[in-house]
Amino acid sequence: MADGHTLTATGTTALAHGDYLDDPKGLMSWLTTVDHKRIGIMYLWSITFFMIVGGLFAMLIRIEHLTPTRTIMDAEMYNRVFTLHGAIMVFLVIIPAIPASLGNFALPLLLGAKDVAFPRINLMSLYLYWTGALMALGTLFMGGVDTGWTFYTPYSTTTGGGVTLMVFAAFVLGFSSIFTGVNFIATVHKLRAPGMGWFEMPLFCWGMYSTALIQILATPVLGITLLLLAMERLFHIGIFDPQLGGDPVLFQHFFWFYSHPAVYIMILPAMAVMSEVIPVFSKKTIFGYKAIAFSSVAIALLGFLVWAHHMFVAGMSIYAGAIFSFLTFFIAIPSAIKVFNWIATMWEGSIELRSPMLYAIAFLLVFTIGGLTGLFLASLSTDVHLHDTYFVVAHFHYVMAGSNLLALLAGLHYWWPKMFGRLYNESLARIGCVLVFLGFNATFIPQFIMGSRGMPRRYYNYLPQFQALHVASTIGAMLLAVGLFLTLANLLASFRRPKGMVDNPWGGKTLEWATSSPPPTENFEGQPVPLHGPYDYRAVPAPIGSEVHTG
Amino acid sequence: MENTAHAHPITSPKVYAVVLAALLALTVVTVTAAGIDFGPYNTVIALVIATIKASLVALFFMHLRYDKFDAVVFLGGVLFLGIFLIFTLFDINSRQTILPSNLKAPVKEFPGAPLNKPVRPSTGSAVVTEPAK
Amino acid sequence: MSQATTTVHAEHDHPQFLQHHFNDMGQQFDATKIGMWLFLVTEVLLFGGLFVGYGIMRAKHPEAFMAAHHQLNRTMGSINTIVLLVSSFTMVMGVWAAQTSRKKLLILFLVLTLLCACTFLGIKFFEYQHKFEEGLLPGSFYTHQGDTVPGQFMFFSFYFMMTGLHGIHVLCGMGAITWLLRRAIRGDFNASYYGPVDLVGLYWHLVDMIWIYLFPLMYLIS
Repeated sequence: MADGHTLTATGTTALAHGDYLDDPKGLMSWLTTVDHKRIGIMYLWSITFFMIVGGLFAMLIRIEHLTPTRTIMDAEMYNRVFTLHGAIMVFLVIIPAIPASLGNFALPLLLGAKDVAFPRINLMSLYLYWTGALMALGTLFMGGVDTGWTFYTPYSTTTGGGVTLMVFAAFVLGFSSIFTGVNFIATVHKLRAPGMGWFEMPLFCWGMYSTALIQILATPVLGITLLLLAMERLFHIGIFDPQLGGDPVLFQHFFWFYSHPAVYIMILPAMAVMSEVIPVFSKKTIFGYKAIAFSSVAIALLGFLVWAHHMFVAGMSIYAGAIFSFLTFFIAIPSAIKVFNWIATMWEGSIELRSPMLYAIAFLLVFTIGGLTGLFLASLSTDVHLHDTYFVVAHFHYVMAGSNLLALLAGLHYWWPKMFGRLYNESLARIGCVLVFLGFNATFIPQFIMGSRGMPRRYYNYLPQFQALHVASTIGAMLLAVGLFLTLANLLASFRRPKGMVDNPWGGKTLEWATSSPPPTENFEGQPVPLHGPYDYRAVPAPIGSEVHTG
Repeated sequence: MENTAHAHPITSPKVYAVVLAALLALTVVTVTAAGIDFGPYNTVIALVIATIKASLVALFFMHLRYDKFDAVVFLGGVLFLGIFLIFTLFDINSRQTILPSNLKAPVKEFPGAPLNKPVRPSTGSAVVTEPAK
Repeated sequence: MSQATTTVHAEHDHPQFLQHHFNDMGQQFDATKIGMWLFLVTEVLLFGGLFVGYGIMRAKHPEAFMAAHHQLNRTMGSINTIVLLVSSFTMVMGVWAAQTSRKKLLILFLVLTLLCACTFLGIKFFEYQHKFEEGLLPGSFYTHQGDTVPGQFMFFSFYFMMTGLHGIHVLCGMGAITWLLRRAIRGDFNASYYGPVDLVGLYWHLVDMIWIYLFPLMYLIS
């Protein structure tokens, strides 16, 4: 066979030595690895763990809100719970989720490279993640944090608890993110396979690249913001304290200059996964490759111009508000271009409703709702009423949590056979997807409604008229939790099956499918050279699961 | 993979020495200029001289003269810093200073800042009480 | 059928410092250079945030900042500026020496750079000592008496944060240069392998550049 692999008759590559999971063996070999695949897997388990922790905090919030007054905790505890939920989910789960797990695993494979550009820095990124995570958990023993994950001054500079430790935890986690970004940009620039130009690489790589741009440009400003906050707390340097001549809104400028682009760090990788999954399960080349590629970069860069739309009612000048509102509307354009192109990809394609594709379709629905509801918040006049209500909470959960989660699950179900050489139970996966989708919508649609009717966010007590909607939301959350645990159990149960996967169960056209499932440590035997585009489905497609390799 | 690394020429020590001389000369200029009062242009002149010095370091010592790609990378970073500065300054300058309204006991008494009175803002037309001496 | 259909079996002569995931030294040099420049961009934005904070607080309290900066010693600041500029020169001369396989000169220039860095930190130490004695300290530690203009503590908050963060970067740079020195003595660097020297040099020049902006903004504006 021309690609230099030794192929068996059943379409699996016989490896000269073990795959990356088995070889070398032992815990220390994992903890000191520089293999991007192992690092990605360790990130995956860590993120799963923290998603469960953050999710438990979410369940506590939802249970508390079953009644308008005290249900299971007092107000002080409630403040800590929603703060930890936000901080853990944002910094420990969503920001790293797809780039650090799927990105680390798949990017070099998609590019035909042996590893990322800086494997040791990749390992350092993982260690920084664990360090920051431990520090964040440490705040639980220091009285918790009750400022909200946004740490607004002057409350955050004057309240007790573990704020300083949490702030330093986020600082450390920021460097984890920066190092991932540096790695990905250098990898995309320099480690592409021979013959793979910028417009011949998979769109997942464009997505990771755009994400990395944001990680590099935005995260340092978070770093300095947190440092300034810590200094203000410890030494009263005065920058954010009006009593000392400072400006508390200035903190918000500093904070959101990172945190708004951060949400694009969250969504761009999700979109990147979509660009991989949808063509494969539509058996059709992606519609508008360049439009999607350029839209990724456009979202990354435009995302830096809109941060103060979080501050319309914070005391910012009305002129600045008008400018930021105007700029915010533009972000919808590249996002919409992508959604249209994905749908156009599916149009007249030969669609297989396997679980990755089900998750992708769910993403399209959830992301569209999330994106459209953002427009109400971008508009100054409506935002005055909707700011700090549950409408905002529902909006960002749709784009940050729902879209991201669905895309992560799509990518996991897509790349699972490649990562572990095993397949999960497809029926259970589909049921899990449906439960997650229904549960997610059942949780957050009531929140849109109550937000538009005036239910404020981060409030411990609420008016009795909102109780029905809160109860509905909590029931939805329980359904979502069931769906997620079912999905997790299904994926974990796949480990009871022996490894023995065909190299390319989905008929994918990108380079990672040209090597064994799971791949060897060095990814490929020799340097692969792509002879056609990543979404080249012009030939008559073989049915999925076929074990015949043509050529 | 082309070896672009070996493509860029090795700058001679003479060039480096000339650049150092220029940097030192500019340092003398900027210190001297600080002694002269140009009014509102003081800051601008100082920053312009600093930017010339920084450009010399970037172009010659950091070899950006031959490395267009990394020059774009670096300037991109500076550009986004500029965006941050300009938009934030625009907000601060287009509104009144935020003043503490309900002053209770000070967090900590220390000299140099009259905590019980609002610090006099330098921009905007907010009405303030003068710090009593 | 998936994307790859041929493989290229590279003939390695395995240069000593070629990392396993790179195909050749040129690719390694280019990739690591991009990596370092990206890291420098993050440093620009990190310090830049402090500059933004400084700029805005200065715009709000010009008299306090004006009065406060007179407490700084312009001479020491100027000497430090010159010292760092010279250290940038010695650093890039070190890179040149590595590029032209001049091992002894490389070692000399690295040592000179370290000496300049020590001088810088030494002068900084004396400056800080003076501030401690006068009570010119950040935030709530400010105990200086006899100010006619209130609010000068904020200038010193920024002074210590910015020069402190800069000083930490100088220290890390010294660590990196010391590591280079060890490797240079061992004979690792020559015309076909000088990447680490070049990259540490880039970092060092950035540290210098930050001071080039810090100096006028802190010491000179009146």
